[in-house]
Amino acid sequence: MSNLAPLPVAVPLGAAAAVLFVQFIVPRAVVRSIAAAAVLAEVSFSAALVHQAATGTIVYWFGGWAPRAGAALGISFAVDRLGAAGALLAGVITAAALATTRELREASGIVYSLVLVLLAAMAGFCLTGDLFNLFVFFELIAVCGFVLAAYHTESLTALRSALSFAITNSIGAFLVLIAIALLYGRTGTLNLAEIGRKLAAHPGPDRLVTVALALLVVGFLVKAAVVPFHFWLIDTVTGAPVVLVVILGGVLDSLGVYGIVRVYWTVFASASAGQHAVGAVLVALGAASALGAGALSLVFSHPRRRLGFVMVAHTGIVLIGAGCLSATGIAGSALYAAGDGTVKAALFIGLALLGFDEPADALRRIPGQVRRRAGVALLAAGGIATAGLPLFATGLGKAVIEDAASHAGYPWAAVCIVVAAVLTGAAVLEIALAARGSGNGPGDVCDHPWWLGAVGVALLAISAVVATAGRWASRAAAVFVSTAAYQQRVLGGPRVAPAVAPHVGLSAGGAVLDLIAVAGAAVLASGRARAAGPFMPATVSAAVRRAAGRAHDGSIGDSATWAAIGTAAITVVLAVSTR
Amino acid sequence: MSFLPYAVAIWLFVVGLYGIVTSRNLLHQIISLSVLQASTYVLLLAIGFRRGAAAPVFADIPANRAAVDPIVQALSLTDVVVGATVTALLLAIAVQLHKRTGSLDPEALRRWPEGRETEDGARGLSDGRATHGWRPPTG
Repeated sequence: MSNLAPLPVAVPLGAAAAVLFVQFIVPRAVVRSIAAAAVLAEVSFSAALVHQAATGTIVYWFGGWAPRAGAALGISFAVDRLGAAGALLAGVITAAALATTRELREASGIVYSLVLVLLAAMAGFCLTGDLFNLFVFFELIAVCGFVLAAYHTESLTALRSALSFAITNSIGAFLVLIAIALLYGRTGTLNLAEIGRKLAAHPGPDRLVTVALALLVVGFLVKAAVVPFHFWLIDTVTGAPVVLVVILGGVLDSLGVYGIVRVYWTVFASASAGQHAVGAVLVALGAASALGAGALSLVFSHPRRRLGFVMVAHTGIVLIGAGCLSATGIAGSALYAAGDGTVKAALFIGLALLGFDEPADALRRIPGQVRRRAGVALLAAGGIATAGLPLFATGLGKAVIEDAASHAGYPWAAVCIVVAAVLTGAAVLEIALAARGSGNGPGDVCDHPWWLGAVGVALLAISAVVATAGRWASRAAAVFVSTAAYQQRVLGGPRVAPAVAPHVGLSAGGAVLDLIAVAGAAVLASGRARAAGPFMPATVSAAVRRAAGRAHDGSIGDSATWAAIGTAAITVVLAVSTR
Repeated sequence: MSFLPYAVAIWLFVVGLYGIVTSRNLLHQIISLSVLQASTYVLLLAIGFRRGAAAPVFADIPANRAAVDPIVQALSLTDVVVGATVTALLLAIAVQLHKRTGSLDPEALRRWPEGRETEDGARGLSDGRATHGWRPPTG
């Protein structure tokens, strides 16, 4: 039964190679079918894993190199429900992203090949139980992303954003690698469960372990693109092909947070090094992202740039849930990441229908009447979902995170979440309002297939279905945070029962806050549409726009500087708080 | 155990980062990234090093002879592959940028053209009419 575990990675990888071989001898429709079949296979295998993992974490040792006497010899996949669900989400979002590849008119087999490798790497990132494996999949995701980001080589925006993406993410990856080297030097193993056990055997403060934790957190935060590591994302969202942008917004930035919580709960939770400090750091960064990027999303005008800031703000909300360091927080983050990722993918599909499928410096393509209506409808529904209508999983996830934040002693973070939901919801609704009356101007005709709108609707429906998975998420999160039970499943030893599942559901207070956020977003969007800049004098808002534009002008040096400042600050805070 | 390799690793990291932050030439910037990455090689190999131990190839040495840690060497090798991929890709992008702009100065690329787009575009969006940021940029 457990032989299913490597398939979500192996099948897309094999298909990627097959696509490269056959692309010159078969028609493009066949290439596209191979890619679609591989993605659907990944989705089915991941769904089967989600089902199987209900009875306990599935451990698969490659080549049969099982642990001897509690010491890991080989490399393992350790699949729990949350990991399998991550692989499933990656597959669903990739399937939706593939639907937009018609836009790449000269798309050769290489685009499909890259998307499939990207999917395999995302699935592997979710399923692996080995620290170095985690890094390899992390890099594989990144390299596929760099190539796709630079796909429109005729666009300077695309090339520049790919450079910024590649350099900033590589710095993050090297920080992760340094942390891995430090942990390996301390424990002599790369298996997550075994590192956790060995660190727990030596209680007491260990500054080296704290530094490793800080570097790992920063490395994954660069991938998650939260403030102040978000500069590369804003540029990439503006310049990359829609297929990458859908994947980025749908699942990739949440995977950065997944990397942090996976490593934290398997390795560091039992070592108690800088534990509370790391939670506080994550919540603070999450709140800064949610508020800062939420406010900036209303400042910028290009719709894709706007959605870039919305993405940063929402990753901040996911990060607040992760920073609560509780099962409730994890459950809320998982629900929000899945519910929001599908909505975000639907939003980008709506923008593609409106003709925003080329880099920002290219001419916009003009949609026909039907496609424009479909795009506006998707953006309007997506805007309401972004603000967190309880019908969608964004509403449930947000409410659960607010709950967890209040219990963990950060009630102010719950306020930040509501404000961020109002701001980002208004930012999306404004795009829909503005697009309603547009339609003339220069440019080619936009020729997306009619069923792309149906894909967007399906994504919104998935978000609504996820909203019913509260109990499932609470059980999955309880297993996820049970460090000792995870170590026992992977390495053996006396049986340990996982933690008790917390109560997760939409409380009356949470539902009221959700509705307030939706109403606030609608009022803010319509208010701003009626009177330009009602909240500040025109000179001030122009100055804000100029300053924000200058801060996000795509300078690689700035991005690297902020990464360095963030790394130093987080490392110092964690090191000082280790006693 | 000597602190020298660790000091070298930190130095390479810092000097590479300084190069990336201050560079005015894309080739210089990309090579700075490689320098930064070299710190990870040094760190990995330093962690696995044992004085007086042999290379971890047991074909021609006794199996009980002390050897340096082969795992970190495997990690470094993977790291080298990653580095080569990223560097090749970055250089390809730099070539494309040079073709388009005739320049390799990363600072010359900033404020293109979004800087302007934010300034005149946002007003159009807030009054709810058509033009926001959708007019083709003139830069």
